[in-house]
Amino acid sequence: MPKLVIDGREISVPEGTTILRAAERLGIEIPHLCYHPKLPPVGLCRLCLVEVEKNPKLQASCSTPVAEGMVIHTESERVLKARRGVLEFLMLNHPPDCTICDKAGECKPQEYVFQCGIAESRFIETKRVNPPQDFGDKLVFRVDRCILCQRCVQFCREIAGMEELGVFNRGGRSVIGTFRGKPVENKYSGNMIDICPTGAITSRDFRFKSRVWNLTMVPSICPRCSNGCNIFIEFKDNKILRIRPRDNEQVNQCWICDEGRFGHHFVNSLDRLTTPLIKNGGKLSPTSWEEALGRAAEGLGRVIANYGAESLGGIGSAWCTNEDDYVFQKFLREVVRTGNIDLGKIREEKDESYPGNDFLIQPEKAPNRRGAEEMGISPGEDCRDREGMFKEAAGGKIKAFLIIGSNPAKETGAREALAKVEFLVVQDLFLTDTAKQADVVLPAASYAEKEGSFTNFRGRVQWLNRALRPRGEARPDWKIICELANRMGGDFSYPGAQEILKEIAEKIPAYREVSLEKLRADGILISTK
Amino acid sequence: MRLKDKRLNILEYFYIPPILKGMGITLRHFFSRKVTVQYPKVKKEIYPRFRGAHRLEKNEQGREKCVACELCATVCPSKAITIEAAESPDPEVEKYPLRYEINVLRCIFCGFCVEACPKEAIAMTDRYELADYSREALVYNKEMLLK
Amino acid sequence: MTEKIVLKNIDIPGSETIEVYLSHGGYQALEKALSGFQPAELIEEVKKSGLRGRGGAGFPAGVKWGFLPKQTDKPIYLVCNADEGEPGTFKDRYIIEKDPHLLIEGIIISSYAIGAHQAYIYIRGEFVKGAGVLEKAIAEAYKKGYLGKNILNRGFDLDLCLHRGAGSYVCGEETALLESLEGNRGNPRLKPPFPASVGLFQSPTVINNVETLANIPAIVMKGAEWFAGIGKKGNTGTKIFAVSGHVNRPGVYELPLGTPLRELIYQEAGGIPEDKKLKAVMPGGSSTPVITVDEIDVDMDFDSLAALGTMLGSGAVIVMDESTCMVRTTRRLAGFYAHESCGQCTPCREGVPWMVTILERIEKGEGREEDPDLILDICDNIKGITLCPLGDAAAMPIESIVRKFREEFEDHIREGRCPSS
Repeated sequence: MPKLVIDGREISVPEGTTILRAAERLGIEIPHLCYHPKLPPVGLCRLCLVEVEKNPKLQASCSTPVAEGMVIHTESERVLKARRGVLEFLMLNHPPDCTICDKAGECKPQEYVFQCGIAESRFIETKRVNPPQDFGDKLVFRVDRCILCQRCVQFCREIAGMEELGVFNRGGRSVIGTFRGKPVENKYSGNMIDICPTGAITSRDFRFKSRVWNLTMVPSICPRCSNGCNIFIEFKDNKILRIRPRDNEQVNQCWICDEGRFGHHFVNSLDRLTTPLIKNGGKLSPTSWEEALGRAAEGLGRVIANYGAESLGGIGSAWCTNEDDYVFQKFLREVVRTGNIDLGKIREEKDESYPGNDFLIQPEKAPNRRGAEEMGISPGEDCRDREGMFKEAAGGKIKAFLIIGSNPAKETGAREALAKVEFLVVQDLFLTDTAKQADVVLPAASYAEKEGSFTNFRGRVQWLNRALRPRGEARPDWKIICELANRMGGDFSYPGAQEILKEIAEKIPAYREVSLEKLRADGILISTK
Repeated sequence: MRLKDKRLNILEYFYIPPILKGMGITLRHFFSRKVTVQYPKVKKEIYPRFRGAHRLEKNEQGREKCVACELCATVCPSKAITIEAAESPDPEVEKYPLRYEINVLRCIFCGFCVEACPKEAIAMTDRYELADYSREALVYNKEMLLK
Repeated sequence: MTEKIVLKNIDIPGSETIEVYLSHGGYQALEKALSGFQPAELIEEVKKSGLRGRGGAGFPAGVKWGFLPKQTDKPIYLVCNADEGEPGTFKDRYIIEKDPHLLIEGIIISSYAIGAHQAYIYIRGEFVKGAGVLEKAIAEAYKKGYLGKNILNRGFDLDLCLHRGAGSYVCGEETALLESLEGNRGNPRLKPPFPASVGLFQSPTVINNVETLANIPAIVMKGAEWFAGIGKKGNTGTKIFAVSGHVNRPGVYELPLGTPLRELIYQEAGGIPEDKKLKAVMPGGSSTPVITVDEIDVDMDFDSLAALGTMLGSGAVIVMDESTCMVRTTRRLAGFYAHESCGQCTPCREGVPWMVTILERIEKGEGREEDPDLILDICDNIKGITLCPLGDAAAMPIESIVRKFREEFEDHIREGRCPSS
């Protein structure tokens, strides 16, 4: 472990650590633009230069490994002069359009120029104009804002595994571009919005939606597949405006896929259910929670009374949190006393022909299949699974369903079977085909509107924080089930999802290590069976 | 040490000198120039730095100067400004305010918005008679502000 | 008349053919090296000779060879840098076109010394004739058994491959050259690692200039002591000076290192036409700081010029007489470097074109009073900051001209035109 001194403070770091990383450990931030911890250092921007005693030249701290006895100055007169010089060079041809730039507020050059206190430009010439470039539907590329750090080029090559960007021309005429105007198509291209240190690459989805300092950030988990990428939900006025990756070395490092980044619009959709609906004379009409819950309890109770508990089936959801699913199966097992429980069908998708490096996206297009199964969303002994339930429903043996967060009506056979049952309760975000057939439809809160945990496909349990107020009168699924259970003779009095988590930790052996603190940090990998 | 009260004579005892003094002032002002302005028939002169109702400025082409940077909304201490930005239909302009609203009921006329504006797109006029019959009418939209 | 080492054959008719080369003692050094020396002894011999790299930096060749890792499971490569693109430099071209076998012999001996079994010559794209001559010479050497398997039955194998560049100046920088040779865009690499440890195809690589390698056969033949006896201490051997500009006899002159600059200009190169006065000299190509007429009593060797704040560089002496406009010269220089900048790192990509626009303004008479200081500050912000030496190469001469001929810039700015036109 070489020992060295940075700005008068001593530190020992492992062999091979760069000066920049060593300084980071001391809490000293050396300004840098082209260097990114997940990309190989290229030393292009020349902003991270530091003075190493006994070395006549300033050294690029991003790529120079530490050595025993080094004495480094990161704020010396010489370093500051060089830094100002490089920043001035970078800004020569950079338009001063921070006023309309979506990056303003989280823009590195903006921050550094501000720190250096450069207010006036010595450049009186006209700025360079390069022809505009189209990067496709997801990204907006503004060539004049580009400072040629090549992070995006490197990202495509090293991380996305598709060489879609390159540097064209040479010297002062250098531009980043796509090959023959081909749009950027890799599934992780949105990350370039984050790693671009300026506003050269911005999001078309988020374009002009808000200034970044007006956004509220809440840590959450991406629900688009079973990988469980850590995200920040960034919102304003109770509306998600963008999703950004949150660092978690165990899951997604600092990346997310484009589907996760741009696929949040369902939460803000105007088609969301906002009130409970009940069927009156073959038509669904809005009503109060009181009436809807009463109708649901009464309907389900009647079926149980008339045909027995085994005539009721429950379909849980891989889109719901562990807490939702736990309460759901507990309700069915302990209040209704049936084991006819199974999981709704999960869309699976694998793009075999994708040429790039598909390193995050899982084929399972739901966040919590594993968690749901571990919570007990699976048929009890001698009980029906999903297909069995629909078969028996078609045969007239199963008379009622309680379906949360899934849409079996799309499956062959299930639609007819659902049409035959006497009573159908559906909890969902939207008026799905299944919900349209229901007698009672209860509006559920989306992942951004509730607390809870997801277990990813590897068994990592992670915590979702509530970002938004639920749309309309929607409620978290577990809360709805509790209300229903209490109306049907149960006593489900959980103050919040955190208490359910505590019960899960007590009742389910694999989850005994689980606690809120651990889940809120990097999550916890549960012991596999 | 104890202070001894000054002995008052009879006139002082009945406050006669101060009363006369006060009457004197009243009498003097009785004949000096009047300060009351007969508003609204007469209006006071308005100084150049007066901060009245806002106006959005136009450029030479007659378009709003505003580029929807939201600095005014950010600096506004009473959160009176709402801006919704969009891609400009004008190919020469990138960003423009699709919606620009100032809620005059909230505004405290501090003028920070004018100071913050990098484009000199917002100014404060000398208009101060802002009363209206509904709250809605006091949320000024872009068209009203551009007039 | 001093003894010539590198250019000794160039006046012989047909010197580029192997027959003529052999009849003048060619490839005898190779026989001697393979039979009489262990590789390590050869490296020692070159170290003892004091031969310094002739490409520009003047780094001792033997020491450079010694940087190769002692133990490696990767192949070692020798690359001959024949990308002679420095403005004013045309020395390697003579060797290539007139005496290609001397270079090839030097490459074979050097490869033997460092343990390379594959060598490359990276030749400047514009050297069409030179490439043809080398191509033919390499074929001849293969035919005679000086290249290929089991050279001269001594069990040493070497393949030599000629690679033509595509016209980029920066490919003369060794790591950019390696990138180009690998088939990539000719961009300089981030150092460290240095080519001696991670070079061509991630393997240890030695890169030497043509003239450096062409000195090797003579060192082997006549010994390190003989070589060290030529020139000055620490600056041994001869140097080819490519004299151009305002002289009566421009051309290449092989002289011992340490020859006075005055002698080179006024005797060898025949002085300045029309007996005009000397104004400035770039002693080592366009990348070296200028020296003024007051400074020309300097010896042309690495250390003397360094003491004067300039460099021997490639030995390209560019002579400018009193009629030269230094503003125009600077603008042309800056324009060259702006055009040849690879564009990777910020100071070179942005700073050099900025200087061009400022200099263009001054030349057109639109300069401002603060412009000379601005140029000096820009130079200061480029020097030592860039990824590769190209930034220094641009900033150093410009800085020296603005410093030493400042009044000329101020005249331009004050009068709003070029006073000398």
